[in-house]
Amino acid sequence: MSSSNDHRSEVAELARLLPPPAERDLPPSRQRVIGAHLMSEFREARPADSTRRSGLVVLAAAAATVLTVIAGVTIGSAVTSSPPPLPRKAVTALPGGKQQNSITGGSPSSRLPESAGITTLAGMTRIIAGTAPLWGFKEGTGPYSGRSLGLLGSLQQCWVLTSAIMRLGPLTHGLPMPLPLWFATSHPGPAQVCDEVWAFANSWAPVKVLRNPEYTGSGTPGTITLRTGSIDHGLAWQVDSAANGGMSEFRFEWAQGMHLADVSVIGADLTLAQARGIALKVRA
Amino acid sequence: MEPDQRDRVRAGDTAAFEALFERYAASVYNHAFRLTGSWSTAEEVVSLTFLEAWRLRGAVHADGGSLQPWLLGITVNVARNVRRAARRHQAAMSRLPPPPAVPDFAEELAGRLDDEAMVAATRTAVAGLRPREREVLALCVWSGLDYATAAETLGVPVGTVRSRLSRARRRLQKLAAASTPASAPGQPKSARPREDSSDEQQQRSPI
Repeated sequence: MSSSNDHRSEVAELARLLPPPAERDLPPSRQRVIGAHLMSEFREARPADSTRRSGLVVLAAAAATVLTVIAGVTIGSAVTSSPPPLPRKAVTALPGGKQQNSITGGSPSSRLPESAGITTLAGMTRIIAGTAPLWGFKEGTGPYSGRSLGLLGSLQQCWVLTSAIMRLGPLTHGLPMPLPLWFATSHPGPAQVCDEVWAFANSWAPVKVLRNPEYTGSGTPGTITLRTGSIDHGLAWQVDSAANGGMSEFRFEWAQGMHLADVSVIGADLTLAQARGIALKVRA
Repeated sequence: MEPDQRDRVRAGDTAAFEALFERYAASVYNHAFRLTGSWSTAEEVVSLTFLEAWRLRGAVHADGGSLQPWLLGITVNVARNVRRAARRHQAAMSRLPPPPAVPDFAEELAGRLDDEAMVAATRTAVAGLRPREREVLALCVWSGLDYATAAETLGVPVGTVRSRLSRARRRLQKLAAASTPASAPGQPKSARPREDSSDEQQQRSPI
């Protein structure tokens, strides 16, 4: 009873010291759209779960077909320097592009050319390309915004093993991210790569961002700073996250001239050297 | 929420998730807004929270009460690093229809700006607090959770919630006392304190 009273009086005192919080409902039309979208995603995921449970049966039945398709398609994507066409929605409706509007007050940064990031990865296919938000603890209320930093443009790309697409379907039809552990373990090493590059109008902004843990996320629980492996005196982490479904993740962030680069590499039995070798392919 | 509904959530019953969304979308939305100070980001956090909830559904305990603490805990984790969470669910988020570019009503826009200005003022007031103190404060003071529920939400002992709130109160009292005309209104003089509390090590939520 006394404890309950203490709780109430402390909360009341805190409430007195602070302005009242804003509160509103999610606009009904938007709530419907988001709700319907989420349920659709969950329903699509259900067959994938079932497939995983009976994976051996499905795998055996599909093996011949998959092998045939892989033979025809991966050869094409491995030798060509231009990746296959991207899913239209992934390019035009990236959440990053949408958020950038809110960061800069209506003037989204432009998308950098593909040459700013990773242009090819052997055995992998680029499944997403768009702009990348420069999120802080939160834009507009953080220490500085994209506009104040002179953000000119950005590029965000994600790559997955081509064989994963052949096995699990394209991004728009069931490809999960991160890839399932059962798939990654049968393909040890890098399975998924995301690279992001931001271009600024000056060379101090990338360094400033790199030094701010609210922007880099280096203070996030589970990120382990590595003593070795950083690029250009930047940051290197191993990420111990339940979100990776049991896979390993290495992440690198560094400043180079007027650019800031961020690369994360995820996979089963992944080594720091493998991940770093991929990160070095960014041409920022 | 009934125990059998917990079982349904654990089993990936989409109807149970639909009910969960209907029931808690608003509280997740408001909590996300208080953590981020942006309605548009809060909307993003709502989607990401429920995508994470779906992915982590197997971690729901069979026994227990409301699933609100579990959801708000996920919200806190998503809001700490939205970019990372968005990247994790990039495929699903890329398929989400974007919000209308132009608000339906000018009045709504004005309301949003007012709200965001209010939260900006609030964030200025709490700028002198450690992030973990802000999170506890948002749960206990603004979302009305008791200590035990806030502890469950954040995955920390009740004593940690209590100590963070006490520190927050003392710090806010000092800031209020120091807020004289000589200093800029609402602007704490000191920079945000360093994260050094040993209780931070007890955080066990996934990122």
